[in-house]
Amino acid sequence: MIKAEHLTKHFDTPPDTVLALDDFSTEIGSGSIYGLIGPNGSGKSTLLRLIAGVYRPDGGSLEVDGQSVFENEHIKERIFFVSDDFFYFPGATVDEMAALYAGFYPNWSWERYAELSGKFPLERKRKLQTFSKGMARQAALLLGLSAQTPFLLLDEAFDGLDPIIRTAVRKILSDDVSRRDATVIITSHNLRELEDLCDHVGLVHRGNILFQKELDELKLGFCKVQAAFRPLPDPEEIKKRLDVLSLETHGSLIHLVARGNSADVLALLEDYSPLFSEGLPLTLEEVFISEMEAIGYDYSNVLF
Amino acid sequence: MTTATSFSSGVLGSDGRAAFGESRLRHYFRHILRKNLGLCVFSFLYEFLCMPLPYILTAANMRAQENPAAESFFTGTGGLFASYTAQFLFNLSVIGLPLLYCTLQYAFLYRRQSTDLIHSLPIRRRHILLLNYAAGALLILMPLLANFLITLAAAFGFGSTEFSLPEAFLFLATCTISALALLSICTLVCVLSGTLFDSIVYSLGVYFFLPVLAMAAIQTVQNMLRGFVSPDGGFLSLSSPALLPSYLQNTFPSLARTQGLRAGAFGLVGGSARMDEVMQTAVPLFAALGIWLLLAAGLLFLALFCYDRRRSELSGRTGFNNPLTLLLKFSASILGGLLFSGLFIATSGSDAVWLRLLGSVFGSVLIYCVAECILARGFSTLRRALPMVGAGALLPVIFLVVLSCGGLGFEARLPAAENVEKVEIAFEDRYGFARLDLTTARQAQAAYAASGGQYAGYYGSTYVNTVTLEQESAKALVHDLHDALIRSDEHGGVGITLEYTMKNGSVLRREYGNWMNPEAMEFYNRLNAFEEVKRQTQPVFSFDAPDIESVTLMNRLMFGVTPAMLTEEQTQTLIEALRADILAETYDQMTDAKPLGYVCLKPRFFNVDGHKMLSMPLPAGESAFDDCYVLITDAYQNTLRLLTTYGYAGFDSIDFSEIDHAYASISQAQSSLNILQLMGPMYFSADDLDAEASYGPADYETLFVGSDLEVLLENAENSCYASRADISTERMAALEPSFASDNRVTVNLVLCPAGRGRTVELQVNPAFLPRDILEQFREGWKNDHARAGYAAGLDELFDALVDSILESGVGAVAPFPPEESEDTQSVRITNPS
Repeated sequence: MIKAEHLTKHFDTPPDTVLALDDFSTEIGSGSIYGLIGPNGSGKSTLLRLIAGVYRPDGGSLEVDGQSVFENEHIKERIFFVSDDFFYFPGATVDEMAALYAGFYPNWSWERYAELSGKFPLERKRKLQTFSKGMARQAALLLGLSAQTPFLLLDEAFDGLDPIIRTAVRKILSDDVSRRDATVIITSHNLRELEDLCDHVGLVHRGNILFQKELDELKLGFCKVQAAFRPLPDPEEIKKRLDVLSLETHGSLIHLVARGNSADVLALLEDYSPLFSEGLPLTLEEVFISEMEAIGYDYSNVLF
Repeated sequence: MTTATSFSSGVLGSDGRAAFGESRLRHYFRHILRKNLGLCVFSFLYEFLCMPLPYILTAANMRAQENPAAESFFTGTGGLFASYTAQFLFNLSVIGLPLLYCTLQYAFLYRRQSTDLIHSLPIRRRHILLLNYAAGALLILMPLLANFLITLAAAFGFGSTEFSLPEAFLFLATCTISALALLSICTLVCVLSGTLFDSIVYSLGVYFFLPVLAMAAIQTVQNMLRGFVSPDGGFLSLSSPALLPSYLQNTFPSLARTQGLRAGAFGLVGGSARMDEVMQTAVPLFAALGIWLLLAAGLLFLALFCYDRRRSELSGRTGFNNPLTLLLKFSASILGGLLFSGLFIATSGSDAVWLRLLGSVFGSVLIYCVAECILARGFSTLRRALPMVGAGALLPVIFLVVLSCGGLGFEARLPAAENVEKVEIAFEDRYGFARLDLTTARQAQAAYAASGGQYAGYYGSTYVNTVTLEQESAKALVHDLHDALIRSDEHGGVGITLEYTMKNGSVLRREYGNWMNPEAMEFYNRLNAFEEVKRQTQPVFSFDAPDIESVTLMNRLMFGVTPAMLTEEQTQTLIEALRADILAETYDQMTDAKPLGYVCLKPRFFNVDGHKMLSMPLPAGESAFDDCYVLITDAYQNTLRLLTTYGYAGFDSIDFSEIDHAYASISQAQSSLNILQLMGPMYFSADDLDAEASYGPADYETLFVGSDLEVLLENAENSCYASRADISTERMAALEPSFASDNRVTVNLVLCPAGRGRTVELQVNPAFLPRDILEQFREGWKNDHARAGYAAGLDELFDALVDSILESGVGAVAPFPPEESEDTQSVRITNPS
C-alpha cells in the first residue's frame, strides 16, 4: 500500500520556484496496476521519484507499507524504478547491469531474467549505448521485471516500444500482478496506452490529483450512443430528459455521452422515432473528458 | 541474440548467483572498483614512468660507469626520483588523481538519469559516499604504494648506500595524506556542486584559494607596510594539501638528488647522519600532515552531512548559492581587488592611496561579476548579486585603507630600549663579509671519515649574517637607527632587518627593504665599531689556524701577491693579531686610517652551494670566492709588527711599472643610498689576463698608455683609497656634487699588466681624477658613444658632472696630507684651488 498525505514538492530554479506537487494525497492499494495520467509537467514523474526515494518530500508524508521511503533501504529494496530515460553505465551490457541490480534486490531472480530474456529480443552481451531507444526501454523493463520487487514504478514505460512488445509487456505485467500480487504504477500522458492495462487510474493535474477510480467502475457509469433522426429533435429537450455529459450533432446524426447504462438511454431515444440508434464503446479518454467536465474542469486546458 | 537457454548455462549464472549472496555494500564496493579499474591501471603506469623506471634506468647507467680509480662509484640517489622533473610529474598525479576520480565517480550527481538510478537503489547515501571514498583511496594509493615499493626494491637491489629511507617514507606519508585530504575536498565539492564543470572549478578553487589569497595579501602588506616581515613563502604550501608534495620537494631536494648518483666523488654525508636532519627539518611538515589528516576526516564527515541533505534535483543545475560558491566568489573578488590595486600602482607609477582603492574596487567588482556570470552561466543573477558584489569590493578596500594608515600602528611601533633584552640585526660589515659557521662542515667531515669514506673537502657550511646585540649602547644605537627609519620618508635600496627579543619574551620583527636614509645609515655604520658586531661579522673570528689552507699578502691595488709561508702556529698568531687589531680599531680609524694592503686567509673548506663570502668577486681560477680578505691599515700595528717579524715588511709596496695599459669607461652607479658608507673598495675586482679579451672597445673604449697612463694610475690608486676613506656624507658631498642625487656616475678602470697576470678593475670617483685626464676622457667618451648613439642620458650626466667638478675646483683633491705620505708613489694629486 502506498499512501501519500498532503505531499508537497517544489523545485527551486532561481529566480523561480516550481511547485511540482501541491498538497497531494492518494492511496494506491497492493496488487493493482495503477495508471497515473496527466499532461506533461503535471507532477507524475515527481511522484514516482518520491515513491522511489530519489526525492525527499518537502512537506506531507509518503509511506510505502507504513514506512517512509526516503533513505529507507528496507523499503527501497521493495521498489524498482524504471525512469523515463533509464540510465546505463557507460560501456555496460544488459548482463552487467543485471549483475549490478542482482546484488541490490533480494528478490532478484536469474530464472525470471532468463525467462524474460527470451521474450525481449535483446543481445545481452552488447553494449547498451549501442541500443536504440526502444531496445534500451526493453532492457530497462527486463531488469525491472527480473528484480521482482513488490512495487514496480514505470515512468512512460511504453514510450518507444513497438506494438508487439507493448502487447507482450502488458501481458507480462498482468501476469506479474496476478502471480506475485505486485503493484505496478505506470505513468503516461497517453490514455489509450493504459486503457487495456490498468485497473485503477488517477488523473494528475498541476501537482494535484483530480480524481482516481477503478477503471470498470468508471466505465460502467457512462454510456455512449449515436442515433439518426428525421427530423432532428431539439437537443435541449434530450438534455433535459437525460443526464447528458456531451452531445454533438452532425446533420441528422446525434452523438451523446450520458450517465447511466446504454439500454436505458436507447429506450428513451425511441420516443423520438430514430431512423436507427446504437450504443458505442467508450474510450478512457472520453470518460476522462466527461468526468472532468462534470467536476467543473475545462478539459481543453488539460492537454493529452 | 542471447537466449534463455544459453544464459542459464552461461557465465552470468554463476557470477550473478554469487553476487546475489553478497552483502549489498560489498557488492557496491566491488562495482566501484571494477568500474574504475582503468583509472587505477593508468595511474600505476603513469607513476611507474615517473618514479621506478627513471630510477632503474639511471642507476643501471651509473653502475656501468663506476670507476674506483677515479673514486667515482655509485652510492645511489638520496631519494626516490632520478630528477626534479620526474618528481614534479609524480606530484601532479597525487594532485590530479583525486580530482579525476571524484569527477568520474560522482558524475552520477550531475545527470538526472544517473541520479535516478543510484538514488533509487536500496542503499543509504552515507554508504554510497563512504564506499566511494574508500574505493577512491584504494585506487589512488595502491599504485602509489606499488611504485614506491618497486623503487625501494630497486634502490636496495642496486646497493644504494646513500638512499635515505626516512625521506622516502616521509614522501610516502605526505603523498598519502595529501591524496586523502584532496579526496575529501573533492568529495565535499562534488556533493555541493550541480554540474561537472562546477565541481572541477570549485575543486581547483578550494585546492589553491587559501595559499593564493594569502600570498597576494602578504605581497600587498609587504608593499604597503613599512617594516613588515614577510613570512617564509614555503610555509604557504602547507595551507593546501595540493602543495604538500611540492613543499616536500623544496624542503628535501635530495629526494631527487641526481648528483648523488656519483656521490662517492663528492663525499656526501652518509645516510645514517640524515635521520636527525630529516626529523628536525620536517617538524612543520609533520604538523601540517597531522592537521590535514584531521581535516580530511572532518571534511569527509561534512561531505556526509551535506550529502544526506542534498536534493537530488540539483543534478544538472548550476549557479545555486551555497557557502562554497560564496566563499570562492568572495575569494576571487578579494584576490582581484588586491591584484588590480597593485596593477594600477605599477602602471601609473604613482603611490597614491586613492589609486590603490580605485584599482581594488575595479578589480573586485570585475572579478566577482565574471565569476558570477560563469557560475550562473549567464547574466540573469547579476542584478540580485549586486549586494554581494559590493561586499566583495568592500573587504579589500578596508584592508588597503588599514594598511595605508600604518596597519593599526604597526609602522610606528618602536619598542622602548629599556624593554629590549637583545636585538638581532641582519648586518654586513664594511667589507660585506658574512660570518661562516663551520660547525656543519666539521661534523660532516668527521661523519664521513668515521664511515671510512675519503675526505673530499666539499662540505656545506652555514652563513650567519645576523648579529645579536646585548650591549646597552649598541641597543640604543639600533633604537636610534630604527627611529630614523620610521621617521624619514626618504628611502634607498639598502635593506635591513631587526628582531627584538623583549624582556617579557615576546619578539618583534621588522624588515625595511628599501627604507634606508642617510641618518639611519650613519647609525648603521657606527655599529661597525662595536665589539659584538666585529666578533660576529669578521670571518677572522670564525677561523683558527687548522681551518686555513694558505695565507696571501697583497698591496692595496691587489698587485704584488706574496704567498706567506707560515707554520700553523704562526698562522694562529697572525689570526690573533688580526683579531686584536680589529677589536682595537675605532670608528675614526675605520674612516680615516691609511690602507696599506690585504691579508688573505684561504679556508680549507669551500662552500657547497657556491655562495661567496665576500662582496668582492675574486679570481675564479684560484677558487678563492670564499677567501677572507682583511684590509690592513696603518692602525693595525699588531699585524704589521708580526708581518715584519715574519719577513713580509714590504708587502704593501706598489710597482706601477707592472701596468702596461688601461681601459676606462663610465657607468651609472646605483643610488647613493645603496652604498653603505663604510664599505670597502666598492666594485673592486681582479681577474685573469685572459679576461682582458672581454674588455674590448665595446666596453672600454678609452685607452690610456704612456704618460697619460702614469698620471691615471697615480690618481686611480689614490681614488681607490679615497672611495673608501672619504666616507662621511659631508665630505663626499663636497667632493662630488652628484652624491646627493640618485644618479651617480663612476669611472671604471681596467688596469692591465704587461705580461700574464691579473687585471684589476677599479671603480673610481670622477672627483678624484685630474682635470686633464677628466677632460680627455670626456671627449673620448663623447666621441665614442655619440657615434653609437649610446647612453645619451649618461653622457649628459657625465658632462654636467665634469663641468661641475671643473667649475667648483674641488676635483683632484689630496685625501692624504702630503706631509703624512711616506710613499712617494702613492699620491700625486694637487688641488687646483
